[in-house]
Amino acid sequence: MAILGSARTMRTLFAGAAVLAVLATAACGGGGSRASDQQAGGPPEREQPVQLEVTWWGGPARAELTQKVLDLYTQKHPNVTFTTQWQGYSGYYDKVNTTAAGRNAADIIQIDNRVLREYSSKGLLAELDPWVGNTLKVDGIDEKLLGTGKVDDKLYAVPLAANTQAIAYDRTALEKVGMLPPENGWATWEEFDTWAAGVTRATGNAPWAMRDESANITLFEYWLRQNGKELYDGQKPGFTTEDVTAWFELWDRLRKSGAASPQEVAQPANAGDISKNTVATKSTAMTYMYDNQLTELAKATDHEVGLVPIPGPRSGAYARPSQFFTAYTGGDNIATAVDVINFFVSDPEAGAILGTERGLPPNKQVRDVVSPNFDDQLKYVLAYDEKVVADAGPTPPVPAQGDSQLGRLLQATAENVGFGRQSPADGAEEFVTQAAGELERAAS
Amino acid sequence: MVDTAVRPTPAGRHAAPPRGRPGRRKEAIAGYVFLSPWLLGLFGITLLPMLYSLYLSFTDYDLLQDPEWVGLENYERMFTGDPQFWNSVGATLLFAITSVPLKLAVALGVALLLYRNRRGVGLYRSLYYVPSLLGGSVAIAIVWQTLFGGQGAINGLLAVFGIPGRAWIADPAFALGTLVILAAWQFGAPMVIFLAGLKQIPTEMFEAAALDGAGRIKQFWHVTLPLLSPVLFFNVVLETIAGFQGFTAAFVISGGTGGPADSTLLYTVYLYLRGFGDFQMGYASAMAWVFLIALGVITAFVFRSGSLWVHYADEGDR
Repeated sequence: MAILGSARTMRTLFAGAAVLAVLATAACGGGGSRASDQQAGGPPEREQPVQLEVTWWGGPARAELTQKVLDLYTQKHPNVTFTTQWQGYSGYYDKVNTTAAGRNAADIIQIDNRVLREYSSKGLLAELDPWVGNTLKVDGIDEKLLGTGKVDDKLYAVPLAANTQAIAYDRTALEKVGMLPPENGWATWEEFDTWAAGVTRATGNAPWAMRDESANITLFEYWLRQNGKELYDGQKPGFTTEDVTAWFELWDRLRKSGAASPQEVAQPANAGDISKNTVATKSTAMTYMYDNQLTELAKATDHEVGLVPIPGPRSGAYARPSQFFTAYTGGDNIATAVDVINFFVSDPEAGAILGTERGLPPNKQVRDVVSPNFDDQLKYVLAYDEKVVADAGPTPPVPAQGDSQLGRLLQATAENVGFGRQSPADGAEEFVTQAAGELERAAS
Repeated sequence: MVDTAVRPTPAGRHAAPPRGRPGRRKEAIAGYVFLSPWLLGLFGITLLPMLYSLYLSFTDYDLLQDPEWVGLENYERMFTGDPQFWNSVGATLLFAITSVPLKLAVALGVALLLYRNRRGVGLYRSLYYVPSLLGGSVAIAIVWQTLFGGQGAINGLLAVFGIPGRAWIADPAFALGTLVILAAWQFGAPMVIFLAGLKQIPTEMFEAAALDGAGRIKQFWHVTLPLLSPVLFFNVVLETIAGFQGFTAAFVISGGTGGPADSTLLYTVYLYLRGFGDFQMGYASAMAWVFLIALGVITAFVFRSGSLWVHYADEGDR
């Protein structure tokens, strides 16, 4: 303190700093006013120059297709131009959160259902109902699918595409040992266990038959639904300690029989990075996935790949919104953003460009126009999706707030159990206690 | 800290300026003017946000809505209701306690090898310093991930000797160990400081010791180490602080999760996940303040311990 000298100079310094702080705050506050002038449900602005920022997660293929659609929109409405931001899934939401905290999020934000409740309840997303019927055409979108974008009956998010749960398999590796999976999957997990253990014996662990998916919360959700439960019961866990114990024990059995890989083989892919996908790295012959991701997987390996339904009843499946587009409440021009979102889902030209990279086109009319021109792989995905969704169960409610904590907890616990550091029952008990606490806190 | 306060320093003299001498004041004002860019940074970018985070630590703040005052709830929850918090404390302690001594030992060892003037020694010094330059970078963390991965080069190397490989990064028993090795590998900065310290030791000391019949090892323990202890002390302080703050490598290698099984969930990584992943900025701020205080206590402890083992050559003068 001595360095700073007399009290008077100190006072001057503090005063100066305070002024600067006020100026900085004022500068931040200035930008927000435009959003409130906008009228909900008003017409899109195309006569004056508008620049919109669009952000999404995904690989280079998605970036290319998305850019093409944006360029097409600019071609039709030259006053509307775009800046874009994209990256991989891991870390994507951290970035959205940070920009939102700085009141500087992108105008159009791609999200999935995991954060929909969180984002809408925190006022990040514009309510889209005022635009429905005029700027935003949703009548071609399946009612159930559109419902997944609603929270408390208000539309916040438009599904960009639909997908469903699947197991992707390495056809080349399985053909080599003469054990292709049955086309319609397996009636029970026990049946799958026997078959997959046979695969691992035939290949001599290289590759293992199935990746250990015990850390995967979306497959856990599927399995819960097969047992007549849901992941969430409102803001509470929809499962009990017994359910989680049974889940961990199932994977314990699969690992012991050789049907599933050890956790050490599975772990690098637990964070959800597609480049570490164990089918792509050829350490397992099968892995859980969404059907639309087959395109990306096929690019990542020189082997042929295919899709097979998840073992057991298909009541676990549902037509899932793979991604949504949402409009940021603090955006410069929400009406135009809504028009761009509409362009992505209801314009046949845009639909033809997008294909099934994000999943199947959500709009039935667009799907009917563009699907005849699909290549064989896209047609294969479409056929798989329609087959499974025909038997799918009801669409689950939008995930609770705190879903990301739940996913992280399941991962850590499943890894503990998978490496034998905890018994299934102990792990399950700890997980359920912590999960309930996190969910309760997230809602408060 | 105690030491420096006793010594007369320029700052100490300044503390009691003769009042009313205009020349002095002018000088002071000029000083502040020159300091102002730094002061602006200190107040605007460091001090005010820090104070704001202290305020946030008593609130429930989700980044998007206004902070809501909750008193000591965040602190209470941290100490009594969050097993992951203690898990991260344990991982961080384990990481710092193993990586700091290992890194310093390697740095000192290499400095001893490189301090004599031999042909090409300059080249080696530069080469050994390179890892430190790359130190905090994401690229190195990714290289590490690849080297130690299940199909990585380390396992390839072990296979040559017939040793079965392991999933170093994926196995909770080894994952933190790979981070420790990565930290130790970046020994360049303390090494350079050790080199400078070694250069300061008068050669007569060694000659005298040799005349008295001391061998290489005895010379090291009784001449080199005591005379180097102030430099060692400096390195211990810096590396301890840096060790506790490790983030990049753990974050990148674990894919941003602190996995496997939370084994690499260092304090800073957990803090980040709470703040930016879970929207719990109030809780994260409280964690940051607990961290600051804990680091302060640990540093003070290291300083205290210094009086037991640090030998200052000029101590006789005081």
